[in-house]
Amino acid sequence: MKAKPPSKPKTHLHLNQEEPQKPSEFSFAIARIAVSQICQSVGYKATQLSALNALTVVATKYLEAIAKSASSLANTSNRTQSNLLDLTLALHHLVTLHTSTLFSISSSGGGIIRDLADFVSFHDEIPFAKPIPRPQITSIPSWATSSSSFSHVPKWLPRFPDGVISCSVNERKCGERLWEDSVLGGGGIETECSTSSSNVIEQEKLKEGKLELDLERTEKVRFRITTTRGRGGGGLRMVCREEKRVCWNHHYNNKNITNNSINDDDVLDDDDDDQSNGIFDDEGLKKSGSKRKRR
Amino acid sequence: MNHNKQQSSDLGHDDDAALSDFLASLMDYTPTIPDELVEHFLAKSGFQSPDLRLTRLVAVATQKFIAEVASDALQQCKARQATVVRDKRDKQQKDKRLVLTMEDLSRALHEHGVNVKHQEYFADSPSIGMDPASRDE
Repeated sequence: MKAKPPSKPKTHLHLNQEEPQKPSEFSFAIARIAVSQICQSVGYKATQLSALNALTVVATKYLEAIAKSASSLANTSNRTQSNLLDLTLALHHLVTLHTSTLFSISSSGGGIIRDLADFVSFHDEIPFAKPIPRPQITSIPSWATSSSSFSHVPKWLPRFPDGVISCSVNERKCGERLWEDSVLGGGGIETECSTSSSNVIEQEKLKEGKLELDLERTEKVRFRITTTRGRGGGGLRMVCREEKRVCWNHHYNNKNITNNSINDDDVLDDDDDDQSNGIFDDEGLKKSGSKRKRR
Repeated sequence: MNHNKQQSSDLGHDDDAALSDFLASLMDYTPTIPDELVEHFLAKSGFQSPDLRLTRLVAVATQKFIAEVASDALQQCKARQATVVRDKRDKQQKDKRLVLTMEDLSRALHEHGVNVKHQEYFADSPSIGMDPASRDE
């Protein structure tokens, strides 16, 4: 049998498979190349793909097993970094598991290292076939030089990436905006009592679509917010939904309203315990005067 | 007792010297498994070490293991070919086709404590391969 020069093995994968998409697939692909090189050095000329994959999985699990036992040995000795003794003992555990011969391990525990030294001296080195792109290690900026506005963040945490803070949170790509921001002036529904500034807010332009909430059922709901001059200074907010008009009152000061509630069709009584939510009512009940309905 | 102690201490010195020599030689030897890959898997399992020699040691240990498994599988393959061969012409042809198969691999791994089972074929339904007379239509 003539000696063949080290030819390209048939295990060279013509990419029938897709490029690896995830980091785990990437590392698996690299490991597969390394394992196939080892098999070629042993003497194989070709391999079944499933066999190669299985052997690669075994190799990765072997690596992880060494690392796990070495790190656990270090942890039991109150250390976080593993040293040579941990590694040697971990290898010792693994090798006694997978070899059947009992005499290969000498009592001093250096037998494994001796085996490895023999392996290194005996076998020629096989460099890896392809160049691996090295990850760019950029220094991670921390919060150490932060401004006072972010003083609640611990200094040792890394900073946010640049794009997060600068872009406005309130605007999305499809044009949706937060409801509060779409109201003219950015004021939105003011839950606080602001009796003095009860201007008439013409919200007709909201119908133009600035305030459109796309529900999941693709049902467009349009709100029209109007205020009427509160008889008695109360600000009454009305929200018009489609054709209905529902009203609620965020006004905390009940006095002015209760005085006029009898005559007023639009104003509903507001109780103290409804301050946070208001009362929603249908237009149909407007005619009933001071009847109140609570939902 | 003292003599034994002296002997063991001598052995300890020898071992240390051999160890340091070996670690120095590791830096010359480039394992087949690249350092970055080894570091990735070590970091995944919690092994932390700034020393490059330890990662190389792990890489060499893994390479030795895989080489052992592969050589065992190769021996199985060659043994199978030796039993099957009939005349000279077949021998030369079969020598060129050293293929790593799942069967050889599972036998080789079984000796090392890893149990690998491989499906021989996949079937669409339970009735495939059965006698057509007994198959329910």
